[in-house]
Amino acid sequence: MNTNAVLRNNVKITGQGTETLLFGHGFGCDQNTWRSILPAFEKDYRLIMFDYVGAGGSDLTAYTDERYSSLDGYAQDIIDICSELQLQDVTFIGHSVSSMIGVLAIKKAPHFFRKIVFIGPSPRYLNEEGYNGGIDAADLDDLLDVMDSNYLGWSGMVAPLIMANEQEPHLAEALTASFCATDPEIAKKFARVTFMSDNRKDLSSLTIPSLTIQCEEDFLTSKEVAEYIQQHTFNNEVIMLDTKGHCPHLSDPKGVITAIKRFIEG
Amino acid sequence: MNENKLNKNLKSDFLYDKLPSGFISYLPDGNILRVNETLSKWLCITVEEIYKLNFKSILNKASGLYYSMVIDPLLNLQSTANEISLTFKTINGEVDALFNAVSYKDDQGNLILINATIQKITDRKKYELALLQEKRYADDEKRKFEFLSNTVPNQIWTIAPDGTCIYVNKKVKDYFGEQPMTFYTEFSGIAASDLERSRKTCLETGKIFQKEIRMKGVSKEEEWFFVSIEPYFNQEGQIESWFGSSTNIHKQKTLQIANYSSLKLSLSSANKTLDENKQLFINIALNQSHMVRKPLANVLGLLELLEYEALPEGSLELFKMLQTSIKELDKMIKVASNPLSMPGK
Repeated sequence: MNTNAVLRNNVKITGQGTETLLFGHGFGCDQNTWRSILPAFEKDYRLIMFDYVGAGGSDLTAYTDERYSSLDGYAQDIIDICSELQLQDVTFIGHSVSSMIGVLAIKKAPHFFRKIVFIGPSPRYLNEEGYNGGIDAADLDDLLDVMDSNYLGWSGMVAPLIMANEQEPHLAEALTASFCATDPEIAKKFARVTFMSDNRKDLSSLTIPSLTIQCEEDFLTSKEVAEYIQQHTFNNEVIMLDTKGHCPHLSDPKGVITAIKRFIEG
Repeated sequence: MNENKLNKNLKSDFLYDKLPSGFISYLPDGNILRVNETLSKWLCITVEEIYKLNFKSILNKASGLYYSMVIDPLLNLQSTANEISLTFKTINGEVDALFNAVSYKDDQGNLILINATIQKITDRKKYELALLQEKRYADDEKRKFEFLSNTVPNQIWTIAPDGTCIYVNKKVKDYFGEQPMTFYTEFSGIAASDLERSRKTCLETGKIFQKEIRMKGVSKEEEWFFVSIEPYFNQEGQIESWFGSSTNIHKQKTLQIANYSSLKLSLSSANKTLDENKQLFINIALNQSHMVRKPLANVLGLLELLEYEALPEGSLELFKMLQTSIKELDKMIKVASNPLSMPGK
C-alpha cells in the first residue's frame, strides 16, 4: 500500500503555467474524463489530475471501509495531495460528487484553495420533504442492483473490441483499456456513499468564490439543485449550458472551457 | 447491399426492422434517430412515438442513472460499450436487456452518433438474479466471517493454495500496522530467526502447522506467538485455502523461559553443594581413618611381637582369631579412608 498520496492517487501533473488547477473526477470514471478540456488550459496553468482510491490507476490496496465510508475520506485524498505537493492558491474543479468532496476538503484545509468549480453538483441526491434531490431511496437500491448485474461485464466494458485508432490498434488498446476502470466492489460502496451523502449544511462553510456549471437536462441533478446551491453558498455563480447529460466536459467541452476560463481569470 | 438478390416482396428496411434483436440509433444528447420494429414491439410503443422520446427516458430510473454516470462518459472516451445490463420501460412494465453500443466521432473527436443493439434477456435475467442472490449470500457469509474473525482475540488470516495471503483480520492489522497483502504473503512479520523454519513447513507439506514462533509488529519488539495453520479441503478433496490463527503467548513463553533458567540455576547450585559435601565427606573420612589407624597400627605391631612369644597352647587359637579380626578391621579402615573406592561410588 502506498502512503505516498502521489502514487496512491495516481497523480499526473502537466501544463506550463504556475497557477494550479486540480481536477477531481466524478463517480463512474477516472482522470481520463478530463481529456477533452485539458489542452485548453495546458499553456497557462499547472494541471493536476488524480484518481480517487478505487478508480483508474489508484492503489486499490489503500482502500479501507473505515476511511472511505464517507466523503470525508475522499476529501482527505485531496488534502493529502495538496499537502504533499505543497500546493497553494489552488482552483479545484470537481465533477459530480467531486464538487461536494471539494467543499469538504476546503472546509478542512481552506489554506490550499483559491476558487472552486462545480460541474453537475448536488449537495444531496435523495429526495426528502421540501427538497428534490431527484432520487428516491428505492432508486438507489435499484441502481446497486444494476451495478451488480454489470459486475462481470465491467472488464469487457473497459477493454473495447473496436479500437478508435485503426492505424495502431495496440496503442489504442493500451490507452482505452484504462478508461474508467474502477474496481466494481469499491464502485458500489462509492455509489452508496455518494447517494447517501448530505452536504447541504457544508455549503455555508464555503467562503471562497465558486462556480456551478449545470446542463439543461441532467439525469442526476437539475437546475433547481443548482439554484439551491447558489442560494445557500456565499459568492456562487451558476452557468447553465445548453447541452444535455451529466458530463458537459465531454459532451460540450467548449462550453465548459469558456465558463471555467471566465471564472478563474475574472 | 446486393439489391438483386432481394426477393421483390422484400424491402431492404424489412431486414433490419425484423431483426431478432432491437436496434436503435441516437445522438449524444439522447435524441432518437431510428429504431427497428423489434424494439418498438418490445417497448409496446410505435416507432413514431419512440422518436419523440429521449434515449434515457426509455430506461427505468436505475438504468438511467447508471447510463448517465458510467456508460455515457464511457462512450465519449471510447468507441464501444459491451454487454451492459439495462432495463427498459414499457407500457406494460419493464424489459431486461443486454445493451451493446458503438459510438462515432467527427474529425475533431466530438461524439456524433451512437448505434446500439438491444437483446431481450427476460429469461436469462431470472438466472442472473438467482446467481446474484447466491453472490449476495456468499458476500453476506464473507462479511459474517470477517465480523466474527474481528471479534475473537486472535489474529486470523486466510491464505490461497499458492501461498498468497487473501485476508487478515483487524487484530493482524492492529499488530503489524497498515501493510499491503504482499507483506503477509512474504511472511514479513515473522522474526528473521524463525523465518526459514516457518517457510519450509506447512504450505510445502500440506500438513497442519503448529509452532511457537516470534513475530515483530509495529512495536518492533519480537514477541512469541502460537501459530496454527490448517488446510481447508473442498468437496473435491483439494486444498482450497489455509486458515491461520496466532495467539500472543509472549508473557507465558517469557515466564516459561525464565522458569527454565531458574530451574537450571537451582540444579547447578545443588550439584555444586553435592560436590562440596562430597569433598567434605572425603576429608572427614580421611581424618577419621587417620585417627583410627594410629592405634590400629600399634595393635598390629604388638600382634607381630606376640607371634615370637611362646604363648600357652590354649591361647594359640584365640591369638589366631584376634589376628584375623585385626586384619579385617585394618582392611575396613583402609576402605573407609577412601570413600571413592567404596562399591557404588
